[in-house]
Amino acid sequence: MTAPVAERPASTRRSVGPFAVFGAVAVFAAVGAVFEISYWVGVSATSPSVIGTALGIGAALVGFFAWGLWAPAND
Amino acid sequence: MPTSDGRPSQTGAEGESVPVFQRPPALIQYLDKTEEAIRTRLAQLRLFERVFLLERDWMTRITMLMLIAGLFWGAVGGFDAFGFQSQVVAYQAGSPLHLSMVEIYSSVTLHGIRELFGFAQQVELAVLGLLVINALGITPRHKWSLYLSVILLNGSMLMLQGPVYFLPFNDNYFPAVGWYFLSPLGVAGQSSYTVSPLFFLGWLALGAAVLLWTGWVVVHLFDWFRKNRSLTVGRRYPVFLWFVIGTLVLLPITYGPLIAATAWDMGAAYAGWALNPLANQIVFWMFGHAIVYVLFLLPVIGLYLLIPILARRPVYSYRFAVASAIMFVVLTPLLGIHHLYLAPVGTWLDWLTMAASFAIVVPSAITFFSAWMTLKGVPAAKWEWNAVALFAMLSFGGSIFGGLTGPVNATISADADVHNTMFVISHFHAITILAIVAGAFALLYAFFPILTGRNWFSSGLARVHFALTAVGGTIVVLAMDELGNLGVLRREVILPLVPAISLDQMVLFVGIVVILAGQLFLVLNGFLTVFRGTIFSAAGLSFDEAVRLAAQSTCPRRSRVPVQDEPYLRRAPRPRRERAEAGWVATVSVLLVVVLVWATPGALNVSNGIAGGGSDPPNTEYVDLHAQQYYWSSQQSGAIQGSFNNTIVVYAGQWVQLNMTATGATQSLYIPFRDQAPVNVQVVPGSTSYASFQAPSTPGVYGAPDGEYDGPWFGVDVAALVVLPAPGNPVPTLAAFAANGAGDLYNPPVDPATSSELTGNPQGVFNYSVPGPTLTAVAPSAGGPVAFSWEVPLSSIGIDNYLVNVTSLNPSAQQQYVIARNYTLPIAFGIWSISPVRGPVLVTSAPLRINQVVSESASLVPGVYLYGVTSPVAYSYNPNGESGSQTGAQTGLVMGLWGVLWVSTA
Repeated sequence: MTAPVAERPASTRRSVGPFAVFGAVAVFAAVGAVFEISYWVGVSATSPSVIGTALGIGAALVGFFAWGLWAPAND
Repeated sequence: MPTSDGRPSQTGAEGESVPVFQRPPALIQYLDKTEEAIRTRLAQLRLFERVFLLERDWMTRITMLMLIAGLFWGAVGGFDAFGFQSQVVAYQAGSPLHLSMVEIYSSVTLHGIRELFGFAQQVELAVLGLLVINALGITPRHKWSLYLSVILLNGSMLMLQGPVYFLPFNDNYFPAVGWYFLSPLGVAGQSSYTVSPLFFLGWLALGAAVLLWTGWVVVHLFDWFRKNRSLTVGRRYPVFLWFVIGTLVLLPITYGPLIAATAWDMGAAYAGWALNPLANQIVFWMFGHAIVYVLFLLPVIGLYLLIPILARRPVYSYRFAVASAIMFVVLTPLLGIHHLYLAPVGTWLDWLTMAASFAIVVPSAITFFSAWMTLKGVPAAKWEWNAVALFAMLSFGGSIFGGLTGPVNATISADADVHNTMFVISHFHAITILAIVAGAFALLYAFFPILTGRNWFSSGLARVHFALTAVGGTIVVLAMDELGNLGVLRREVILPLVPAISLDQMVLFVGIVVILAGQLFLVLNGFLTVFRGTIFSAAGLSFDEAVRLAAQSTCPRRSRVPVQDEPYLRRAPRPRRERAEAGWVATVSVLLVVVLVWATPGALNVSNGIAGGGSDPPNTEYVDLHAQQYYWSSQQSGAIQGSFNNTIVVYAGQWVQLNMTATGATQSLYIPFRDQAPVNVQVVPGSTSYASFQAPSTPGVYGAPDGEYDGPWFGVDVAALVVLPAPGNPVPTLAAFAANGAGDLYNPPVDPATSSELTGNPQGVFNYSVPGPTLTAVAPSAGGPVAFSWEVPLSSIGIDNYLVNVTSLNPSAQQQYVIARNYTLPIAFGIWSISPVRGPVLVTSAPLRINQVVSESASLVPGVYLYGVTSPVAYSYNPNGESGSQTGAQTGLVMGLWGVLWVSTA
């Protein structure tokens, strides 16, 4: 069998690469998780026990995106 | 016929001459012939020939068999969830339930077992076996070892659901214990609810199946290493292979404890061995938690394998990826105890497990950073959004979504707030549906054409499958989270009828339906692929090109890109890339240490962290609680004295010291305060648990559900914390209690006695509430008449109502039993006053009347009273004498038709 080729050349109009899309998905996922955790932070009875971990998670998310954007490309 | 050198021989399967000494044993020859006969016959049917790939080699056939069996169990497990949730929604709508309590709870049990092991574990083994054999170019051997493993695994799924019972009606053979068998629940002679020994044998068979498969792969890998030693020395193995090896190491470490815990339970049930439930649970959770990571390694392998292939460039940092594999293997077996934070295992052991649970964030952080960074720099024009890429993306996002809520569960003080609530189930399903299942689908879409030799039939069906799985999974996870926020316990059917709960349960049901509907598109596409898919050929292609070609058939034609490998030249040197990785890992590590330090004081001061002894505050109330299936008996000493059933009586603001024991099953005392820290303690038979808390300052009746599932009457197992006004103070109205929402949804609703209409439901509780509504009345100091009305309709009497101990094939036998006794049951229904020095004191009592509106009245002084059936009813479910230790049996002491009467001072 000859090596397959695309039905037609790849579109050149696409501009959003997988890094950006996966990054956006990570943002959505992080927002969803923070939304889930924030409830317990907002309840006076549970806030003291959750707040430390919640802040740590928030800081880690900032670090994740900061290091990801700063890091050199996989070239 | 003789060989060329004159030795005797026979003809082999391919027609070649095989020397006698190389012939397989007689048993294998017999099995080969039998298999060949069956295969030849089945292959005559086009359906079987195509679906099971009967014309292909044995490795392909077995792998396909595993995938189909896995999808079958996945579908059955999905309908288990559908069946359970349909009953939850029906209960919330006040509709009759079509399944018995055993069937309902066994649906959850089997849902977990079938999805985790029949589906996920089996698909993982199929995919990893295929990967190892194909990626390394190994010639598979030991066919019957693999066959035996598959037969054992699927046989175990049949055994775990109980014996095949041809006589109708007796549903005790279903295992309503939990996907984990939290010892001693279900163990004959130890628990009021007993499962069939087939359940335990099923776990043993499952363990044997997985260990056999592990040995099968290890033998092949050793062969490969031995034959390719010169090639492999100093060579970089693919990252995914490190994770496969890690999985092979973890499987025996994981399943060994399962086999040990199961054998111990069986020995206790049938050989008189001594059972230590807490030790058994610790051993079990070495399996119970590790298995989730073993399954989670499937999507991790998928990401490390597929993303570099799709991106046409290597993993961002090889060394960090390998380090994450090693860390996963080292840390995974150490985390089990975080499922037992609330059990009396020891504060420092809890703390060490919390530290280890935080530490496993590091390899996860490396993995998802590496996966993301691998894509950095990939041009949009070189990337194809096929189903493999889409599911890999979902698995990536789902892992982050589910993973981020993990540290909350791992924090001891936070776990005391959320333990056993639907919040934990939301976290778990984010990992299982959105990470593990999505990752499995990414691998399935990548390798199905390679397996079947046919391209996927429809990219459109694949995209619909992706969309419905993603949307349905997200709905399920968010609905579970909302239920968790309300404080709803997992596995509960008998829940308060609160609009928010009803809405969230309905949304959850919709999410389940959407997911199940989505899988129909996968099945349809799979069938169309094997029957009508175009021929897939990897001839002349590299492994990576073949995977990309397979994935391409799930992408619309207009969006496809060429599949050929491309020359790749590193421009970013390793030190620069590793600097970024190291920076990220250092950030995470520092944060984890900070959070660990922050969480430590809370870990040492949760309600169950205070042992007996020490100096207690003045006027502490001492309460000895004993948990049984399905109620608490209490013995109080201190300012309030006496014995109660399902009731703890304290003064407002009083300190309370609890000493708790249990028999029959692990139970949990869960008092979900919302204006002070909740009380949440697990009580394991054979051990003593302690708790200390300060009672709320607002008098009222606080619900205290059993947080740990303990058998089919779990939902009725709810106690009440009755908080009296401080001594010397008049009994206030409950206006403040009701108005400020001092408690939780488990607090029984507050209704005026005069206008209340207490009505028993088919589960034997008043107004769908346990305890029943708190009735309020007013009386002068000298006393005055108080009245309320109640009814247990005849229509509420049935097989699921514990009030009538009749189990019969006749669906109306319970009602006939009541009619034959002139609508009167020998169960005392009455009013008891709560005396601070004598416990409950009888005011009035009469046998329970059925199908009659009864006006209960008495002259009462201001105070707090108990009404209804305040002693547990002995329950035994034994239709036609069919229940027993071989088929399953259930008995218990159930108390649901009761509540508190609150008479305030006029």
